[in-house]
Amino acid sequence: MGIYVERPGMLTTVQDAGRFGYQKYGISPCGALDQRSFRWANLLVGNDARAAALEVTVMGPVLRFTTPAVAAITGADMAPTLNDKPVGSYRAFRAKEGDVLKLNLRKTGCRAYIAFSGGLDVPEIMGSHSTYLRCSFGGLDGRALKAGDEIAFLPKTPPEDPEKRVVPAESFASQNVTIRVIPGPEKASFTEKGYETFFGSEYTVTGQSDRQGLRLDGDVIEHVKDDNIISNGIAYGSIQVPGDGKPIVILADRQTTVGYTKIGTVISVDLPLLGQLVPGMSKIRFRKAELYEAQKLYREQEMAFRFLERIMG
Amino acid sequence: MKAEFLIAGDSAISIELDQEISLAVNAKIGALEQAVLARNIPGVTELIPSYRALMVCYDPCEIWGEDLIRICREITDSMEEDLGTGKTGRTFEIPVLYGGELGMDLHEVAEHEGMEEEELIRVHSSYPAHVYMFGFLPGMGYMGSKNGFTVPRKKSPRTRVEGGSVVVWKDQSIILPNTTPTGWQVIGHTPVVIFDLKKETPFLFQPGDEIRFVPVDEKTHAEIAEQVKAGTYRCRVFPSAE
Repeated sequence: MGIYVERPGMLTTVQDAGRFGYQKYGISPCGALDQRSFRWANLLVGNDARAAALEVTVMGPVLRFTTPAVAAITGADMAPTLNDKPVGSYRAFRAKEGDVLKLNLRKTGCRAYIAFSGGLDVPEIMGSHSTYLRCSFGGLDGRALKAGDEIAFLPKTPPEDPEKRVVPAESFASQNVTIRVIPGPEKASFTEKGYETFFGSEYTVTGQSDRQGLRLDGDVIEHVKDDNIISNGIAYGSIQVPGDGKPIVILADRQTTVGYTKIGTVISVDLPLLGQLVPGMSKIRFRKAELYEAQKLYREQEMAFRFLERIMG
Repeated sequence: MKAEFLIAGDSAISIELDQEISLAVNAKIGALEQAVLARNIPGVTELIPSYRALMVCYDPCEIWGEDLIRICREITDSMEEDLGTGKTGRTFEIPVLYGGELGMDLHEVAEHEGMEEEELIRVHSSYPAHVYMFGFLPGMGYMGSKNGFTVPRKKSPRTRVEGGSVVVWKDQSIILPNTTPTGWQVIGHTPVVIFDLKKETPFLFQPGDEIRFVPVDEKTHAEIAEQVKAGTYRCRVFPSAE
């Protein structure tokens, strides 16, 4: 069958690569906030890159396998154990029927990803299995996991030698992070001083941060005139600055249109880092980046993933 | 067609027109969206139209941002300035129970506009509202008319307003697709469902459509609600008046 949820953890949801093509209807893309860790997890268990997996936030779940399976954990270090023995991250492992997987309180990072060979069997809505918490649809009934939930795996022959499937772990030990940002789109709305402040200050990720956005606290950013624009579309990782001058980094569960000026947009390869920042704890500094450089970095990362996906199968 | 091209990170650009909410500018966005779709640019993953801008999202592996801007500029250069009103020619009739428990701000709004409640209902329902775009929530259409209202948002937004509520800010109206916080003024409620995942076409109307609000009494509101629940209600759609 799949897994039985004995304890759900703080906020565990079914996510995949996201729901695209419907933002024009007001539907947020959702999907795993740390797409890199999510992709590693699926690669390790031999899944398609977009297969549905679990996103675990801060404090992990206790899951009992109701069928033999191959699984893998990536992202934040939550000291995972299988039948009370450490099982490690960034490596595939075999589980027997009845085995109990436990993830604990975060030691590093914020979100861990658990992929199961075959992927999770939840209804596909508008091309995706991601949970849209704000609107209560997608994933498992549009909500976080609860004790007593059971989720099946889609049928698939698991990889033969899970023990050999290991990839380099990404470390989230540091909670002081530098994030690269391309200035704009509303460059003209900010003064030179505003930009100096933005690229020169250290910002704290406040406790009012979630899958919709990171609310930052720090030095106020100066506008030329005011913070309002006629509502328009917003890119993932764009940074809004409302009238109070405090930036908000927009994430996967965002409202699809906003009416505030945007000072910059986080480059794609740094977007996954945003999903590992801990509300109330992490600090960010922003560094200026350029479009061409950012796209080259993304292409390099993508080539590396595709190569590994091909040779590891 | 005059347009500005702004970079929104490494996976999206924003094509922006005049800074105004108007049928003419919104029509250009609609036409631009169709033109970009028709061009079938490899790497373009999603288009997000709004009042006066079109966001073009793309896969940075498939196309370079600079090349995408160049192609989009070719498209806008080839388009006229005058592209009509963007109306689809369809009008949807939406029955509304104005005021009462579900339209608790009706009196305040009427007072602001210097009218009696009846007059406000008459004015709001006699100007059809043009659907400019969707945003904020699934199926939430931003609609505007020329009803002349100037009422501002509430000083303290409500944390919870029922789905189906008809809310207003100045001459803009919105039908809330589900229960949500909002700072807009709540003047009525419709039992009609505007976003339903279970339907083959989940969205009742599209940008470019017109909405005509029709005042109904409590009894009719309740009857329609029953029909909606039973799945037998059909919204009246007809060609827009010229």
